[in-house]
Amino acid sequence: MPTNNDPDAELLTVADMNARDCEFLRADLSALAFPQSKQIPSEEMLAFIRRDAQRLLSSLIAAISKDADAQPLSDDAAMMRTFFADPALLEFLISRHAWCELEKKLEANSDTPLSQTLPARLLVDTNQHIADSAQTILAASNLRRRGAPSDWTELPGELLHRAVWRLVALLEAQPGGNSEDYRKAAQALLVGYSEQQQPENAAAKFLHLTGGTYDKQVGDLSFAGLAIFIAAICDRLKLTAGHTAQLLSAPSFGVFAVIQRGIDIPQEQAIANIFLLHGFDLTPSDIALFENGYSAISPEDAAQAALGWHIARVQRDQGAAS
Amino acid sequence: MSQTAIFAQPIRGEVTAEGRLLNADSKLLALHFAAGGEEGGLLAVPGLLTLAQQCARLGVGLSRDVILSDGENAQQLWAETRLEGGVVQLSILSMRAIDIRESDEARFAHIDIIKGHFAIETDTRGHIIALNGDFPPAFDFLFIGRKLSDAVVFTEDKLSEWEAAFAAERSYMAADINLVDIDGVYNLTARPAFVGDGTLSGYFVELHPAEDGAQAASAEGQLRGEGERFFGQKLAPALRQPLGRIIANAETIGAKLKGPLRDNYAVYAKDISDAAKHLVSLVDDLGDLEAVERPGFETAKEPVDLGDVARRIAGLLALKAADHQIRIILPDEAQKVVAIAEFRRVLQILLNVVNNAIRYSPDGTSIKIEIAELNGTACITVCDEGSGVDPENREKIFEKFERLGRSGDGGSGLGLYISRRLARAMDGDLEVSEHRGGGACFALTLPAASKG
Repeated sequence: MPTNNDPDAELLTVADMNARDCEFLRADLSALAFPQSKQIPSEEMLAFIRRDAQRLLSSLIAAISKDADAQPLSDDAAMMRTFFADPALLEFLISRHAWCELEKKLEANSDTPLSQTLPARLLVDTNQHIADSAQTILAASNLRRRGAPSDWTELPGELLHRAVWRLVALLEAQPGGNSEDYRKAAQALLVGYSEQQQPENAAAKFLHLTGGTYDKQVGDLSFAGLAIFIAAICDRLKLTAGHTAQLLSAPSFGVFAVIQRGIDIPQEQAIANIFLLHGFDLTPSDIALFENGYSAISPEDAAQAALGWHIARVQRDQGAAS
Repeated sequence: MSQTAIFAQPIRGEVTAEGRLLNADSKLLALHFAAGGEEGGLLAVPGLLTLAQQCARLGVGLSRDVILSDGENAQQLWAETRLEGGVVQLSILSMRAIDIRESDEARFAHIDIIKGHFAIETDTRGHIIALNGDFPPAFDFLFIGRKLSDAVVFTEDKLSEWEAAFAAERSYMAADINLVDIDGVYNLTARPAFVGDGTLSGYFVELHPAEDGAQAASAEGQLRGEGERFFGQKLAPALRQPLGRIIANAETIGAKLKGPLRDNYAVYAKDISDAAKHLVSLVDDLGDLEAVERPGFETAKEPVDLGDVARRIAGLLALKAADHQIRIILPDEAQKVVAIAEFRRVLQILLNVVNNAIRYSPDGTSIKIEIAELNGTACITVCDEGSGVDPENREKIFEKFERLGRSGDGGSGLGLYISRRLARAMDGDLEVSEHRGGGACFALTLPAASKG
C-alpha cells in the first residue's frame, strides 16, 4: 500500500474523497436529511430531477391510463410515491442527470462531433445487432446533450417493472379508475419493452459484440463516446453504468483519474480525457497532482480503489434496503 | 480479449415461465444436454435459466451477457429474451471464449453432500441458480433466481460482510446462520469460482450444521472487534435487518406487486410499513443518542456560514415544504454570519428543527429563517406559524422521548434532545420561544467566528 507521503497516495486520497462525496450526494438526495456530502445537490440538479421524474411519469401515466381526460392522479402525487419513494428509481434519475451533464461537457469540449465517433462509424456495420446498438447509443447521446426528457424505454427492465406496478397500484387506489384496464395497459407496455432500447445496455452489448476489435479505441473518450467509454469501465472494473456516470461527474478530476488508471489508459490519453470533462476547472495544482500521481499508482491499486467504492455502494444499498 | 463470434442466425429456444425448455434448435439443445438437462426439463444452462425466469417474472424483454462454464471451458454469451403469450423466446446472438483460470474444484459434483448438509450455487449477480441437498419441497421454486440473502438469513453485519466479500470476489465464512424454512443453525462457507480472464462465474456456498465444528465461528470471531458502541454498532444493525424485511414485505403487499388485494388489506400493509419505518427512525435516533451521550464526545471546530446552512436546508427540504405549500423565507444573501462549530452537526440540528416546523405547521404558511450576530454569539432562528409551544413545555420538549402527547407522526421524541446536546457540545445552545403573532421560534446560538 502507498504511504501518506507518496504522490500516488495523495491522488488516491483525492479520488477517495470524490468517490465518497459522490456516495454522500446520492444519500443526501434520497434521505433529504442528515446530509454528509460537501456537494449539496444544487437547485439545478433538484429541478432537473423533479422535471425528469415528472416527464417520465407523465409518459407512463399516459401509457397506462389511456383516457387522459379521466386521468385521476396528479404528477406530483405519483412522483412522491414512485420515483421519490424508491431509492433505485431515484438513483436512476440522479444517474441520468450525471449522464446529461457529462454529455453536454463532452459536446462543448470535444473536437470530435458525434457523427465521427465509434458508434456513428458502426451505424452501417453489416451486423444488424451492432448497427442497432450503435443507433440506440447515438440517439440517447443526442437527446442527453439537449437535456431532452427521459423516456421510459431508458429504464432498465427491473426498474420499469417496479415503476409501472407502483403506478398501477396508485391509479387503482383512485376513485373512478378501471383496475382491469390499468393492468392490461401495464402488461402491454411491459411486453412491448425491450432492454435492447436501453442505452447503457446497448453500449454493453455493442462492446461485447465488437469485443477485441476496438480495445485501444474505447479508452479514447472523444472517439468512443461517453456510453462506450463508460461501458468499457463497467466491463473492466465491475462498476454499474449509473454509478460510473456519477463518479465521472464529480466536481474534481481525482476519481476520474483513478478510474482511468484502473483500466490502464495511458497517461497522455487519460489527461486528454480529463480535459474533456474538467478542462476549464483544472488548476495548475490539479495538473501537478495528476502528473505526479497517475503513473505512481499501479492499475491494480487503482482498480482496487474503484472496487472499494463499489463495495461501499453495495453495502449502502443493502443497508437502505434492509 | 478474444474475438466475439456473432451468429448469422441466433441460437433460439422457447422456455416456460418456470424455466422448462419447450423447444430449441440443435445448438441450444446441445448446450442443454451437455449441462445435464433432460427433454422437457428445466433449462440446464444456469445463466440462461435465470435470464428466462427473470424475463417471465418481470414481463419485459431482457438483453444481457451470460457466462457459461463446464469446468474446462467457459463462454461469454449475449442472450436476449422476450415474452410472447406467457412463453419466453430466447435468442443467443454471440459467443466469446474465455480461458478458465482455475479448475472449479468446488462444483457440486465434487462436493460431498451428506444428510443435513446443503450446497447452493449462485450466478455472477449472487442469484441462486442451483441447489443441492435435502431442501424442503418447493424451496427451489421459491428461491431459484433470487438472491442468496433471500434464502439465507443473515444479520445485517453478516450481510454486509457477505456483500463485501462478494463484491471483492473473496471467500467468506460465517457461523450461526439460518436457512429460510429449514430448522437448525449452520456454518456457511462461500467460495468464488472464476473463468479465465478473472471474471467471476459465480459462488459455491456450503452449509454444515453448526455442531460440526467451530472453525467458521472462530473465523467470524476474528472479524469482530471489541469495545464497540453496543447499540449503534451492534444492536442497531441487528434490528434494522428484520425491520427492513417487514417494511419491504409490507410495501410489496401494499403496492399489490404480488397480485390483487382487497383495499383494506392494502391499508393494513401500509400501517405495518409505517410502524416499522417509525421503529427504524427510532433505532437511528438511539444510535445518535448513544453517540452524543458517550463520555468525551467532541465536535469539530470550523467556520460555518449560517446563511449558507440556511440555504442548503431550504434546498434539501424544498420538495417536502412544497408538498404542504409551505414557503421557507431565507436570510438575505448579502448577510454573513459565521460561527465556529461543526458544519455537519449544525446542518443536522437545523434540519431537525426545520423538518419539525414543516411537520407541525399548517399548510400554506411560512417558515422564516433569520441569522444574526451579537456580542460574540452567532444565532440562527427558525420561526413558524404553527400552534407554538406553551411556556411550561419549552424545556420539556428538549427532554428524552418527550412527545407532548403527540403520537403517530413518525417522531421518536429524541430529535430535539439530540439537537440540544449537539448544540451544547459545540459550546452553543438550542432554545425555543414564542414567535411574534404565534408559532414557535427555535434559536440555535453558537460562538461567532469574529469572537476570535
